Order: sequence, then C-alpha cells, then structure tokens
Amino acid sequence: MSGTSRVQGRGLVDRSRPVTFRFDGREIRGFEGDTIASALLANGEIMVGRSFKYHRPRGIVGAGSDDPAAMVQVGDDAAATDPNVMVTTQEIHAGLQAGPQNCWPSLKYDIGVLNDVFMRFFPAGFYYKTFMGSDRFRWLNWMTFEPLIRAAAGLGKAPSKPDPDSYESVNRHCDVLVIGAGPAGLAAATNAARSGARVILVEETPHLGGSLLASDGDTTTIGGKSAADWVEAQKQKLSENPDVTVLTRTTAFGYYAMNFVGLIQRVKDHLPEHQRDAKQPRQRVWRIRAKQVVLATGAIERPLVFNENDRPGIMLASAVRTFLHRYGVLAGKRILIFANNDSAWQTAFDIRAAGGEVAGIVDVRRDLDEGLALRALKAGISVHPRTAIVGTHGRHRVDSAFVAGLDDGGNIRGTRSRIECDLIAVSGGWNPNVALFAQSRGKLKWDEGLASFRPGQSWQEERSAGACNGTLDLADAIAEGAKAGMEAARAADFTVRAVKQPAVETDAVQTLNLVPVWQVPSGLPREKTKAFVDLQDDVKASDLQLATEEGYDSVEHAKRYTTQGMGTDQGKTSNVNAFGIMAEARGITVPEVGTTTFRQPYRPVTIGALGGQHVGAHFMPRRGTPMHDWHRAQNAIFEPVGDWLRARAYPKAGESFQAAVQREARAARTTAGLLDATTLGKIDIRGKDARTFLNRVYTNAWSKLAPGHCRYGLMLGEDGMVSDDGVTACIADDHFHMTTTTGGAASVLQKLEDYLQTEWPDLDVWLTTVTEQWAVAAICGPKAEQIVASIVDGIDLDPAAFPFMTWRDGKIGSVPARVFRVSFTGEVSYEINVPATYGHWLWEQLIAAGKPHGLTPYGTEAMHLLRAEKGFIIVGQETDGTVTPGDLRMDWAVAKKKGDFIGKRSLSRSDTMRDDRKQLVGLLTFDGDHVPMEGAQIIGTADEPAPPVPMQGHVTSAYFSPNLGRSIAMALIKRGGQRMGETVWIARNGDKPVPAKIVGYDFLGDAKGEAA
Amino acid sequence: MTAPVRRSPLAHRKPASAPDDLLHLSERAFDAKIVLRGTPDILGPALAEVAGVEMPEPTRSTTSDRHRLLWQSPDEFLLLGPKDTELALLDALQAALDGAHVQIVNVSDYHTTLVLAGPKARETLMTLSTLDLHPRGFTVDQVAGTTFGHALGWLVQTADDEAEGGPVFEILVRWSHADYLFCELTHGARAFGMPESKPLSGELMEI
Amino acid sequence: MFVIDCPNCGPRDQSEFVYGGEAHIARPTKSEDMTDAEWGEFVFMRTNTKGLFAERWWHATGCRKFFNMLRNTATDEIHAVYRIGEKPPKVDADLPATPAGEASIGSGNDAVKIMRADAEAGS
Repeated sequence: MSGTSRVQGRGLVDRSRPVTFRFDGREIRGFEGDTIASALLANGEIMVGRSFKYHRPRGIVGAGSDDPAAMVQVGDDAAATDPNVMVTTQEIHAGLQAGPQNCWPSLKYDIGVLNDVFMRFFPAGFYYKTFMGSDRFRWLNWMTFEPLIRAAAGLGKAPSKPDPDSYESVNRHCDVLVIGAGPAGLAAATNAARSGARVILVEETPHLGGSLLASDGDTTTIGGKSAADWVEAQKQKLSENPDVTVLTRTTAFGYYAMNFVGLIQRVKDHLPEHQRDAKQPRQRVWRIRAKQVVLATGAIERPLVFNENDRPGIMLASAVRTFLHRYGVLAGKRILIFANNDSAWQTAFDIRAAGGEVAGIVDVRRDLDEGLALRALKAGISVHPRTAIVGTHGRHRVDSAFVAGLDDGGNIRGTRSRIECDLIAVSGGWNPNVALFAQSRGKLKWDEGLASFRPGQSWQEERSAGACNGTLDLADAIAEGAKAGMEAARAADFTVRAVKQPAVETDAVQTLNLVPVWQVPSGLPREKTKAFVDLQDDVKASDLQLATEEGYDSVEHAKRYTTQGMGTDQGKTSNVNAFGIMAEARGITVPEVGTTTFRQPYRPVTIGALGGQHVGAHFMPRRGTPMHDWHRAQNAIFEPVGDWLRARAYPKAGESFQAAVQREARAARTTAGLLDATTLGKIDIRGKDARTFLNRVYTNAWSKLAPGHCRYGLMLGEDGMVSDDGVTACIADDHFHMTTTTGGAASVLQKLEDYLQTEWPDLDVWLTTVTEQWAVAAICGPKAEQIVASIVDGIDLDPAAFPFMTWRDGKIGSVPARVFRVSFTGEVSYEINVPATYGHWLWEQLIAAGKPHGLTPYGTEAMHLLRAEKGFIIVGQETDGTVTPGDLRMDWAVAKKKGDFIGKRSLSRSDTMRDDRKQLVGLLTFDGDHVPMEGAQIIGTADEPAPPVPMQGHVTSAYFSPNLGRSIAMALIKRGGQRMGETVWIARNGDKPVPAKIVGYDFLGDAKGEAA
Repeated sequence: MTAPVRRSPLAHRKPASAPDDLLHLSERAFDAKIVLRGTPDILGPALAEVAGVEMPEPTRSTTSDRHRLLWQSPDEFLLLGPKDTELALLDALQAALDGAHVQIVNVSDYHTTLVLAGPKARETLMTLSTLDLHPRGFTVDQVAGTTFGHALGWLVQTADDEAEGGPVFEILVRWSHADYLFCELTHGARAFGMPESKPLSGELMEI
Repeated sequence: MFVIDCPNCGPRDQSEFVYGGEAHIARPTKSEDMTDAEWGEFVFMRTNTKGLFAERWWHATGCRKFFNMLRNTATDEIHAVYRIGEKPPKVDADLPATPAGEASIGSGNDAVKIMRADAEAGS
C-alpha cells in the first residue's frame, strides 16, 4: 500500500500546495483541496474505521456526504474533538489530526471484531429479544445492560470539555433559494437572478459544478464552452449580481414549515489553525425564509447488495469518477466494475482514459447497449454480461472478486471464477436525492425507469430540477434547472423572459437502461450470505428478511427493529435497497412498502452551531436593576428570579450566607432595612371603566378606593386558582397603578389585554407596562420614617397624614418621587419610586441617609423570611396553581357580593367547596432549632408507615426566624384551618419524622399577642 | 444629599465602531419617550399641535424638527423628543387631550435608544432579527416591535442607505435588556472588525 | 417556525407571537346560573381538533393585539387570519389536506405518503 495514485492534469487540488496531516497516528501527504478520503486514496489507503455492531473493517464508499460509514474522529483535544466526521467531506489542512472510530486497540487489530465472529448470533432485534423479551434474562433488567451495550457499540467520542470555538446563527430572507450548484442548480440560480430576485445559492462542497466536476471536462461542451468554462461563466454571472449570495461548504440540513430552511456553513473547518480568522465563527447556521425554493440536490448512486459487499475497496462507481476528476486520484490500481445499468460504464471508460487498469465490467443484465459494448471493446475492457459478483476476498481491502453467471430466473448458474482487483466500482442505479423534498412534506412518486422514488406532488413553494427530480440527462437537467429558476422568480412576483438555453454536447454516457436488482444472488444459503444493506449500522439483507418474517411488515417498524437507516447517514445510499428487499420478501411492490420518514437534519449538525452565539454570557439577557452595580460592588449573592438577577443577601467579609440573612432580617425589624424592589411588575391602567375592570380581574372590591389609596388584590384564573397578587394604587378616579409579582409581570399584562380585547371590548380602559420606568427602593423598620424624612420633600410623613395603604407624590432633591406606604414585612414601610435612571442615585442617597440609623440593605432571602414571619404569601411558593383563596384562608380578600370576576364561578364548584381541601397554616416544630425542608411531606404519625404513606400536605416555606428566635414554617395541610393546635409530623428522607404543631401563620402577630 | 445624577443603562459602555466606518454603535440616552394610547383621530390633532408630527401609517413613523412618532399598534403610538422635555410634553398632551379616552404615559426611563449606523448595520441586525432587513424589506421610517435574540425592542430606520454614514437604525430597548443587546450587536459585528463587548456577568450565585 | 400574517403588523416570525388557545369560546356572562358541569365545560374542555382549527394568537412583541387564525393543525397550513369579534371566514374545508392524505385521527405515518401510480400530479 505505497506509492501515489495521482493522475497528472486532473482535479481541482492545488499541486503547488502540499499539505501534511495525521491519520491514525501516521503522516499522510496530500494537496490543498483534498479531502481526507482523496488524500488517503492517493496514498493507496482505503480503510478508515470499523462498523457499529460487528466492528467490520469499513472503507471509503462514496465521495461526498452520501458515504455511509467512512467516519473519523477529528482532533485529539478533549474540548475541540469532533466525532463522526466524514472523510469524504473533511478537507485536509496542516495540523489536521484524524483517527479511526469504534476500534480498540487499533484500526487493524480491533478486539470488538469478536462480534463479527459471532455475527450469526446477533440477528435482527437481538438486543430486544435477549434483554427485554427473554425469560432467561428476566432476572436482569434492560437498564443494567443498556450502558454496556452502548459502550461497546457507539461511534465516536463526544468532547468532554467546553467547546472553545464560537458559532453564529444569522437570518436571511430571499426570493429564490437554490439548493445545490450542479448543472441544474447553476442554471436555476442564474436564470432566477436575471429577474432581479434576491437569490441564495447553496453548495455543499467547496466548488460549484456538481456532477460536472465528476466528469471529464474536455468531453462535454455547454453552449460551446467546455463544462469547466461554463461553470466558471455561471459563477462570474452570479458573483457580479449584488442580489445573489453564493454559499459554498454549506449544507441545507432541514426544510421546515413555510419555506424555512436551515443551512449549516462550515466556515473554518477546512483551514489550518493559523489561517482561521478569529473574527469568524467556526460554523454558521443560516435560517433562511425563502419565498420560493429550487431543489437541485442531485442523485445519489445506490450500491448493489451482494455477498461480502462491505469490504474496504468496494466503492460507488460515481465516487470513483469523482475521485478521478475532482481530486485527480485513481482510487484503485486494478478496478472491477459491477453494475446493473449503463452509467457505471462511464467509470470504466474514464479509468482507461486516465491510464488506469480496468479488471472488467461485470453486469447483471443480459441485453447490453451495443454502442457501449463497442466502446468497451475499443478500450480493451473485458465485459461479463449476465454475471454477478457472488463473493469477495481480501482482509483489510478487497483483493479479488468471485463471479458467476446468472440464468434467466436470475439465479446463479455454473461455477464461480475469480477476478483479481483492488477496487470494485459498484452501481445499482440512482436515487434522486429527495430528502429535502420529503422534509418539505412533498409526496413521493415511484419511477419505474429509475426504480426509485422521485418528487411527486409538492406541498410547499418549491420545485425540483435535475437529477433530484429524476432527470439524469445533462441537457435536460440544465433546461429543467433554467425553467425552475425562472418559474420560481415569477412565483416570487418578478418578471423574467425566457432565453435560449445552451446546447449540450457530450461523450459521457447519458442512458441508464436499468434492470433493478435488490439483492444479487450468491448461491449460498441465507445465513451464510453476508450481503450488507446499511454499512454503518451493519444491517444485512437477511436481517430485513427475518424482520419481515417475524411480522415487522411496516417499513417504520422494520427500520427500528433492524436499525436500517438509523445511522448518521440516515440511509442515504441504503434505504431504497432496503425497501426493495422488503418488497421482495413480502411479495409486493416497492411503492407498496413505502418509505420511512425523511427527517431533519439531512446530515449531522453540531449542537454548537445550533446554539449559535447564544451561549455562555450571551445565553439570555441577565436583567439587572438600576441598582445592580451597587449590589455587585457589595459582593451580594444573587438569585435568578424570572430573567432577573436579584440580590439575595449581602454577606459581609467572613460572614456566611445564612448569618447575613439573619442579620439583615433582624435589622429590618430593629433599625431599618432597604430592599431593591424594582423588579415588581407595574402596569399603568387608565380609562373611565378602570374600576369596573379592576373589579372583574381582582377578587376584592375596587369601587370605593379613593385617589391616594392602595389596596392589595388577589388574581385568579378562571379555574378559581390564585395566579398572581399585588398592590394597586388609585392615582385618580380613572387612573390606577397596578403592581404584579416579579415573575408574573408579562403574563398578567397578557391576561389583562386578553380580557380587554376579547371579552370586554366595551370597557374604556388602556393598559401600558411601566415596569422598567420606575426604580423602587423599599425601606422598612422603626427608623424608616426618620430616614425617609431626611431626604424626601413635599410629603408629610406623619402616619395620620400619610397612613398605611396610601401613596403620596414628593421630591427627592429635584427628582419627582412617588412613595407608597405599603408593607410586605409588617413593619412601617415606604416603597419609593423614582424614574429608573435616578435609581442608582436614589439608592446611594438612602444608604447615606440611613447610615447613622443602622440602615441595612437586605436581599430577597431576608424578604422571604420577613414576609413569612408576618404570614404573607408568595404566589408560586404557597401556591402552585391548585390553591384557591379559601385554601389560603384569605376569604377576606374575596368580595362575594360584588359582580362577576375572573374565577368567581369556580369558587363554588363542588371540588373547590370540598371541606377536606388543603389549607394554608403555620407550623411550629417542637424543636425550635429544626428548620423543615421546603416541600417536605406532612404525615399523621410519629413513624413513617410502610408505603403507600397517607399524605396530609406539604411544607411551602420554612425559615429560622431571628426575630422570633425559632424556626417557622408554612404548610398546606388537609383541613388545616380546622386543626389548630394539632400535632403533625414532617417526613424526612431516611430520617425520623419531625413533630410540629399546627398554628396560625401570622407568627409575628401571634407572638405580639395580636389576632391571628 | 448629593445632586441628582441620572444614569443610563449603558453608562458603563463606550460607543463602539468597526474600522472604515463600516459600523457604529452607541447609546443615545434620556430621549423623552411618551406612550399614547388612543385612536388616531383623537390623538392626531393633539400630536400635531404639541409635537408637530402627523399620525404615522401602520408600521411607519413620522418626524418633525424635534420629534419622531412611532406607530406601535392601531391604538398605540410612541412619541420621542429631546432630553428633559418629557414632563413638558406630558403636560401639554394632557392638556390637549383633556377628557378624551386616551392614556398618556411617560416611559422615558423604560427604554434607552441604541443607534446602529453604517453599511454593515443591516447584516449585523440579521444576526439577531428575523425581520426581512434587506433594503427592499425595511426602509426609512419603518417601525417594527420584535425580538433581537432574547431581547425585546422597537426598531426604526432613521436614515437610508444612501445617506452619509447610513443606513441608520435605532432600537428602543428596555433598561434590563440593553446591556445584553449592546453586547450581542458587537458580537454579531465581529466579522467587520467590531471590538466585542462581553455581557456583564460573574455575579456570585453560590451560597 | 411559521410566518404569521399579523393583521396589524404584517408577516412576522412565529417567535414574536404567543399562542392563545382555541378561539370562539366566549366567557359566559351568567355563570352563576350554570351547573358545575356547564362551567367546567367552559373552563377545562377544548376540542383539540386535528384539521381546520380556529385559534387565537397574541402578537406579544409587536402590536400586542389578539387575533384569530384558521390553521390546519395536521399540516400547519394557515388558511386565514381575522380579527377578534369576526366570524371565521369560509375556507375550502376539504380537510385535512395533508400531503400524505392521512387519517383524521392518529399519526397516519405509513406508506400512504407514496403517490399512487394513477394519481398524476404536476411536479
């Protein structure tokens, strides 16, 4: 396996730029423009890995993204390694490191090959039968085996460290998206572009030209130009048009609803490290919304399924041509052709023209085209009609084929003879590449001439042209492409006049004359025939036949049972053969078998690319308040609340989080505390029917709330369950300022708009969100009044003049401020609102003014603790969507006599009226130092009984209260309201339940002797 | 007490530029911004009187010397004016619309304005926006309320592609999304040589 | 990802919208006279139609208006967009016109998606 197989004067590789890379630990030489595959072939190598199940040697089969199994691991960095990279698409560059997958300890000596020896014992459905269905193994369970099986199978290795590369996704709209830049795609793009339409042309490989690059450019002329010059001329036209975008190294991976197409562009993967522009992402996802799409994705050659057809060195005939013409590489030294159609003969002619040796053409057909036979004769190629390859030989690469004649029934006749060869070029026909068409939900149609599926009825605004539409003839494909391009432009409302299409002259074989053969007979019994259909998943023809016999008639079932087409290649080369074999096994036609569903992505897309730029610090907006910098400067601990980051506590140097919370909560009741309450949702409500509106959305009455006053309100869903709460202030008779929970701001506004727009359009009410217009500092505690008085002008703070649940406008310096005397702690409290841009300044003024009084900033954790001491609920903590106001024992907040409100009727449903519902209560553990766990279950016995344990409820909130010197908890307990003083137990995981007494939930009020 | 200091959401960010005037990104803080809810027939005369602007067609904006009026919905409009004029505007509009079924709300501090200008502005926006931002798809004075990545904002084109330094786009973005959006825009413009700004992060989250 | 033609703002990406559930379910005005079962029908029960379905959407990032949409839930075809308060327009209701011609219930994910040989259609 030495020496180079380069053919002088052919290929697009740059021979002035040699490139060295590493494969399987060895240095390999190639040229710029080579793929790993072409460089390996040029060096006489063809085996690149082992298969998924049996660890059989796998070589290069295709020349592009259709190859079923030639995948490698690229890169040996735990952060930047890529599994399942196709050697047929990965371009080589200095520094590239590629290694085989799925083999240990090495490519050629792999221990997993034992699976191959025992292949007979791994039939279709083996894992299911053995580990899930078998009585013998019932004592073991599937979960035990699954990891072992996955470890033994598996393909490449996922990176174990964060990806160091950057990715990007971008959006584009266009009039015509053309996918594929072969002859049909180029014709479509240039003809669409003439109209002035915005055109995007996408090509998976680095070069435009498609199949023209896989043929001898000198033997074909288009419009009087050589094929290569014609491609160049189209490229020139496109590049001169400012409304055309041409994307190479870009794959359309998904066709979604309404002409939304995902493209993956490999921006830098082909470049050596030092040429990679740091400003560019490694890969870019283009999210295209196209008015019209032209699919020109070509056709994929399908292999023949014959005995021992999976040996390295058995390659698609078209791939041999591609390696020869695109890369200037003869893939073998002595090449045998095996076909059932005319197109593969071109491979033989091309090999001869390039000075290579053809070992012969083995063709299953009886009647051969005389012209072709004559050409073969002239080229000195021996032809074997009505002959089949019945077996192959060679350890890591084929070294010979066994052939035998066929009788009229298609069975083997006579003895087999041996033909020496180091490559077998196979063609079983062509499958139009309908993957994107099928993803677009178009309906497929069976084509007898191709013995394959092609586009039938379109579903979206697209059209197929060229080989993907079953049109293999070059001239026809170009004409069809041109027509598709113009039609697409017209359908996108552009005008374009038809022009004369170029004449095509070519020596290349344009006929097919296909005789379908789904499985080539081997003359051997089924269990001795190793005729592979899916080379990646190791699915043999016999597996599909067995599946059919076992009743897996449906193609979707058989797929899952055998894993046919379930690999990273999605069965591009194998599926149609599999359907054919199943059809024969069932004695029906292939269209009656149908196809499996073509799914996105067409080829694997890295998760990184799908994530795009929205990772790390760019993942989500980190919403901070105007005071955020101050909190950061104090080394506050933050917590996410919705998208917001709120200061949770402000530990001092050396102070624990818990200690900080206790200190902050104590200060709020003994001196003064300061909370950043900016994140509360705020909605400005205005209109003559504003009161009526509030009456309908809140459970309590709003008719009599006077300007200057505030009221707490509960909001329900129509199911009667508490959904939000907050304080709303009356600014004027027709003007209110509503606050919502931080997390509920957006959904409350949506809900209120919903009712106004759809149920009550007769109400004259406007809503506008003002959440971020105001910065809010809430100051509370015995010293709060003094501190506020020192900075606020224009408000008489005397409680008689400014009582609880009122608001006043004032000024701080020259800044207008609105102050609400509401309280979420039970202490005297002022919520000071200023325009947000003054928030940071306001905060600093309060800190400075409060310093002499011991003002202590407190975070959300102390806020939770303080409100729990007073028994105030938090929606989302005490409630979970199943809790009514009655369950919260907040009937005082429900006005039963006023008219209808959202959820009212549900409060009298039989279920919400049940007397055994869970109700909110306080819990005092017998051991005051023990703080129960939030979410802990409440049970009725001192010891946890055997399951099922009767549950009585759960703890919703629990804290150690510094102001009461003991733990407090709130809980939802069955009939809790009627069980004051009773003892219940709080279950613990693996520990003895903790006894607690049911009490009211105003812990502070009760301690002070106030009414509960 | 110190004298009041007004701080914009992007006070910590300097204007950013890509070489060769390909792109400029900056914050214009403190514009006066007033939301008006009401039907155009009611709002129109008042806005003409107070701000000298006509009512815009759907998805468009209109301008006068000092003001721009954005269409936001059939009954919602956003009036922009120079810094420190919001209270005067409020009073004048309130007076002109006294007794009418309208809502006039000061949102000057709710949003800030990002100005994105230069030949690469469209491409930069396309890294984040699903709108058709081709010159044929989005033109001067056009308005759209949309998402930019995960940020919400109102986009308006204020100068066309042929204008010097154009095209110019302005994005009205809420306070708490401003830093994210600023950084996303610099990130999206990396390829044009824009220095990348990293979003603020590193807040302590562990107890 | 759909494109939804907002009646106020024009065609926009689906990411700008919030789904609003089944349309044309009016909130009862005399709920106090309703039985639990009748009220429960309004609160909890929806038709979950496969095929032509009238649903509400909210253009959250744009005009903040609710509107109605007629969508074939089997194919995601949008047949009409119309305002709140308007009746659903008549559309060609030979539905569901799924490309696979699948059943009106169930996934119908089977060989039916291949065109019959006699069913000629333009390609």
